[in-house]
This record gives sequence, C-alpha cells and structure tokens, in this order.
Amino acid sequence: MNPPIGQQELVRSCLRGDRAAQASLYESYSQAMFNICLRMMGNREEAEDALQNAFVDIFRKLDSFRAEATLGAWIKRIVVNHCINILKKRKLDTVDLMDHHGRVPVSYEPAEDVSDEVRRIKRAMRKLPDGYRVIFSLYALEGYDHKEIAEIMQISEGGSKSQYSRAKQKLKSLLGDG
Amino acid sequence: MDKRRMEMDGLEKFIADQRGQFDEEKPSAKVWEGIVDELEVPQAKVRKISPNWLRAIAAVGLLLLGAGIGAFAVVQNLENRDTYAESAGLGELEDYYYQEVNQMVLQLASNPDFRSIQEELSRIDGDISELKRELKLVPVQSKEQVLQSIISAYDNKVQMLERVMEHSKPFEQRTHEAPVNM
Repeated sequence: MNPPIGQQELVRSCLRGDRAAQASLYESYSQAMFNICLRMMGNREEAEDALQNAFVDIFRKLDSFRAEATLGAWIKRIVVNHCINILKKRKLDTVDLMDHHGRVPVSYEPAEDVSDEVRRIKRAMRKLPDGYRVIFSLYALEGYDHKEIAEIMQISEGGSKSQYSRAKQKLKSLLGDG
Repeated sequence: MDKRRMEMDGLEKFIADQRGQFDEEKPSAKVWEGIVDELEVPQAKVRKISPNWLRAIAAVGLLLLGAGIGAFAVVQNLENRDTYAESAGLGELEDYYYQEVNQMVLQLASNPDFRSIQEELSRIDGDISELKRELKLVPVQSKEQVLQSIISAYDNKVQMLERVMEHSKPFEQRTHEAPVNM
C-alpha cells in the first residue's frame, strides 16, 4: 500500500496536477477502496461509479487534507461517504429490518477451505439488505467502531450496535442455508 | 483492538484473520480513464459566492420583497402562505446553502471533532425547521422577520464550518506523516 515516493511529496505533486503522481496515488489506494465500494454497493457497476466519483472528489479536494488523519483514512472516509450518499438516494433502510432470524442465535461453522469460505461469505454478504450489508462491512471489515458508524450513517450508536448484531445473525443464517 | 478481538465470534475472527482475501477484486481500467476524463474537463465554475455577498443579496432581496409583499397584500390576501417563502427565493437559497454545507462537511469528515460539528449542525437544522413552521403561521407583516431568522440560521451553519476549517492545521505545517493505517 505504500506509495512509491514520500506521501507528502506525492500529495504536493497531485496538487500541482501532476498526472503521474495522481496515477500513483490512485494505484496505491484504488484496489482497497474498490473493495469497500463493492461491499457497500453490492454490485460491480455501481461500485466502479462510486469509486470514480470518489477519486475525482479526492483529487479536487486534496488541498483540504489535514494532518489529523492519515491519507488512507481520509481517502477511505470520502469513499465511504460517497457510497452512503448513493445508497441514501435509493433509500438505504437501516431502521426496520427485523426478521425471523433477529432473535434466534445462529451458529457459524467455516468451511475447511479458506478461499471457499471467503467466497461463500462474500456471496452471502451480497444477499444482505443494503443497511445490513453496509453496517456489517463498516464494522467487521473496515474496522470502524459503532461511534464512527453512527456518525457516518447518521444513526444512534445503539442503532448501529443492534443493526450490526442483526446483520451478523442474518449473514450467519444465509451461510447456514449454503 | 485486542479487546475487540476478544469479543469476536467465529465469523468475525475468520474475517479478521483472512482480511486480505476480502480485498482481491480489482476495478477495471475504465475507472481511471473516467477519472482522468473528468479531471481534464475544466471544473464547472462553481458559483462561489462569499458569505458577505450572500448576506448582501439576501438583504436586498428581503428589502424588495418587503416592499413587494406590502403592495401585494393590499390587493390580494395571501391564502397560500408557502407562496411567501417561494417568492422570496428561499428554495434557491436553501439549495445554495445545502451545497455549501455539504462540501464543507465532506472536507471535515476526518476532523476529530466531526461528531460535535454534526451535533451542532443538527441543532441549527432543528431551529430552521421550527422557524419554517413559524413562517407558515405568522401574519404576513411578520414573515420578513422570520425569513431573516431562517437565513441567519443558514448563515450560522456556514460560518461555524468556516471557523472550524480555519482552525484546522494546514497540510504544509505537518512535520511528519503517520503511517498509513488501512
């Protein structure tokens, strides 16, 4: 993930409009960011659109990058915000997704082959409703805590916790269904 | 992070242990091409109206509106009170503020005080909603004052965000870069 030249210099070069530097920055972060988009949006086409729009925004707003966050965290937050904004336009449902799996603990047994299991989890995540998939991705894969997720999604911290718990149960039940 | 790991169940531990395998998809080359295309197009001239100009425009608009409404009210009763806000251009003004605030909020996404900023914005939004309800109820001669309060509240949002951005440490002052933590 490390850029080939110093990060500060890379940012300065990008700010000067140096296309090679911009390509280098994109190269450093695009794959990780694309996978975030893919998990949040649920399909490749929308994920690529979100990634493209987010990076255009990143390059145009790079002068506002401050030292409080690492460049990676700053880029990641912009990418996540872009995805959330797109999902909100299609009415991201984060409130009432209780179903019959909501209160019944579901056990989880991973498949023996790790690669198969990763594929199985990815496939099951794509079947989750938008709200569940986003909260599960942000917590379990992107490493945000519930306070941060509450800020990102403009819901309460308790709401984030309960939605995450339900999302995890739902995911386990999908994995149990094969 | 250790505490978080201790609380993990089997599924969460599996994901954490195999985290790298969840980032294996690659975007197609057309994404970068699209980014370059967009960056090469001269950015549309965003109407960057300074808050001072905006306040001046709003003040002139209100003066004209006040005079116009006075005359209008003599010859015709304003049955539909939302017409007042519409004719005052409140919708356009709100669109402008919405874009300004959104842009600044996006830039402040990584600010450590982001939560307090959002709370303050929500508080002002609550005030604005209250004022808009009031706008519908007050007699026509009081509407101008309420409208002025709505604009001031929007102005407060922009000014608050501008202050926060000013106080943020500029990039050039950084002495070292923390390691990228993805």
